[in-house]
Amino acid sequence: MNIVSIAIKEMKTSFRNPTTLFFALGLPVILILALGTIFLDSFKSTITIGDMKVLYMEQPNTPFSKEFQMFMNEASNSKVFFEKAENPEDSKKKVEQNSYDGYVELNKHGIYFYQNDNKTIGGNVIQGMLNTFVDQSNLANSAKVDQLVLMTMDMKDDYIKETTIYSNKQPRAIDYFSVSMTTMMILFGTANAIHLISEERKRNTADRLIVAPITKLEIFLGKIFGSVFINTFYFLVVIVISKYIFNANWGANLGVVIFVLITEVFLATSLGVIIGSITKSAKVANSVIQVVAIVTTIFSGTFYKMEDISGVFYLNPLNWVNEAILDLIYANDFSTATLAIVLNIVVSLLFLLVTITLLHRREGL
Amino acid sequence: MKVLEMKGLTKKFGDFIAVDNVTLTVAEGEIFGFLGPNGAGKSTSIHMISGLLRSTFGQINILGKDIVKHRKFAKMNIGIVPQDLAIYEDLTVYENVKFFAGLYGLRGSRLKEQVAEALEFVGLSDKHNSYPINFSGGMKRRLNIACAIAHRPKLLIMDEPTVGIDPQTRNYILDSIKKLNKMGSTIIYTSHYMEEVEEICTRIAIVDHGKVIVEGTKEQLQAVVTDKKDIWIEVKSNKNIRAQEIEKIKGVESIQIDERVIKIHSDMDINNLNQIIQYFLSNEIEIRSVEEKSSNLENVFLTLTGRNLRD
Repeated sequence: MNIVSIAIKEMKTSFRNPTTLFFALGLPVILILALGTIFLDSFKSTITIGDMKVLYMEQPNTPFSKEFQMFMNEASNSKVFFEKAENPEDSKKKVEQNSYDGYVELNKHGIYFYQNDNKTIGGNVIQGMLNTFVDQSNLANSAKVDQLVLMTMDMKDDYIKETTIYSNKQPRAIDYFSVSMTTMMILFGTANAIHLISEERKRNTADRLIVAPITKLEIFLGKIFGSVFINTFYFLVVIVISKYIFNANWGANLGVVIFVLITEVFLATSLGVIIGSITKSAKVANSVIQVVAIVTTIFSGTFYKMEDISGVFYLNPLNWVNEAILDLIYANDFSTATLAIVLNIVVSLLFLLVTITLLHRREGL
Repeated sequence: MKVLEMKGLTKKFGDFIAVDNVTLTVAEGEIFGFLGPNGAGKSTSIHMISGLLRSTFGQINILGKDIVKHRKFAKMNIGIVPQDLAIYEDLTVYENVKFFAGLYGLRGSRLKEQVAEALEFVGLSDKHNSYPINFSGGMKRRLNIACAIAHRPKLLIMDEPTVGIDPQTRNYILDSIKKLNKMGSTIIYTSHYMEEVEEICTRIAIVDHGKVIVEGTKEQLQAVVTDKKDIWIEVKSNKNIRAQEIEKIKGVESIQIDERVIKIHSDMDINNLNQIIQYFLSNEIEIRSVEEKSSNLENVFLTLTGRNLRD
């Protein structure tokens, strides 16, 4: 019960602090709107592609021959024109020489698509169309024939890869910055967390808390929970504003997205308290947190879109959380989210354990 | 009944001994004064009693129970009014008192009742929804007291609560202490203002360099220095007064020169008043009044330690 009382007190004092409110609510909303507007064109995925030519060859007894003829007729409306090939080897050579965007071979097992790796946009478009055709055919004929498979042949490396359905959904600027500003705001909550304990000393209320019949652990946990709850409330408000006022896309897995963000709040709070407890003064703690904030923000996709987050960049919490959320929204992929959740919780528990040990050894708070 | 017992209490910070083998008892219903200069060990002792610091050696019992073995029991029965304000300026008056009282296990109607009672006692009932950030220093001090008494502690510790406050608030706090005592609270009052301790305390311990120099009622302490007297001479100006010349007069032990009052500490048995007045007249120093005072706690401290309380 004491933990709840302390958590409620923590939430009240945070909510009544205008500076905290501005940085937790006002600033991210302003930045989402500003960056979403400024970088509107940088996130456009529309590219004009001219006519595309594809060679095809059909083996006898191809079960989906009739459907493929219909598909080719439809494709011509999208300026993808199919021409019958005379010779497979000659066709592949023509693709390699960029005379054609691809070569398709049909047989009873499925579709083999050869594309020139130098012409990825056209090749990807054709590949996407073939994918759709394969999917639709599989759905329509699933009970009658074997599943169709689309095999993509890379001309450059000369190997075969099985393609997956490619999502053509990409975030707009407002979508992207809604995610990145929210995660940045949460991580910057570390700056408030470093004062969770020292603020009590500054107000002289630390002595009152210690002389009360409660343990240091209760005080500590009350403060952690209070901080996590109020910061969760702040980011939920940001999500609601960005989703319903700015029309940002938060995807179909919002519950999991929120859970990932809660674990980030937990991480930010734990990082704050450990910095607060190992540094000797609030001034030093503030300096440390400024360095952490600058480094994590610069080496993350907070203000620009990072195409590839790997290696040392993945060690940045902003990157692992951003990637997890974008994968949840745009690829329906839960694997990076699971990793981010585990990382956030494990690192947080480690930080809290060290802080509790240090606090236990200290006289007073 | 003994509300507090300290047995051989010692606190060391490295090589420095802040509290040195202190043994004291405080009985129920007392206002016990801890008198001593800054750095004498008063606050360190108070911090050990209230659980803020661990003792290096010795034992502390609250209501007969060891505070180490019965930490929660001891804490439940102690209230502390710290020297500095210890309130949340972004919580209302009511929320402040309710929060701290709630930590002592009070819930529901009992909590509301005792919070209201504490606010009534400090005269802040009509301000219960106000934020203390807008309060005067005196009102904040009253809230500071309310936060310490709402759970009705058996032992209330007040650690120099009058430092740096205006006379009106100081009088209010001293009156409150007397009232709380009449209502049944045992109080430990630390101060380096001997006038306050003389005014309110029923028993006093004078501490210096971490040790209790003397302990007893005000009368018992004054009896230690019955052979001394103070002569206070009010003058128009202290311009021509030379302390060394007055100290040469037989029986004079020390002299303190304020702007308009000259305080001379002297041997009781030697009648030297005529000689002292003669010094002032011969140096053309205009005397406004002369007063001979019997010994006070300041003198007790001076006699026992050789220095003033505020040195």
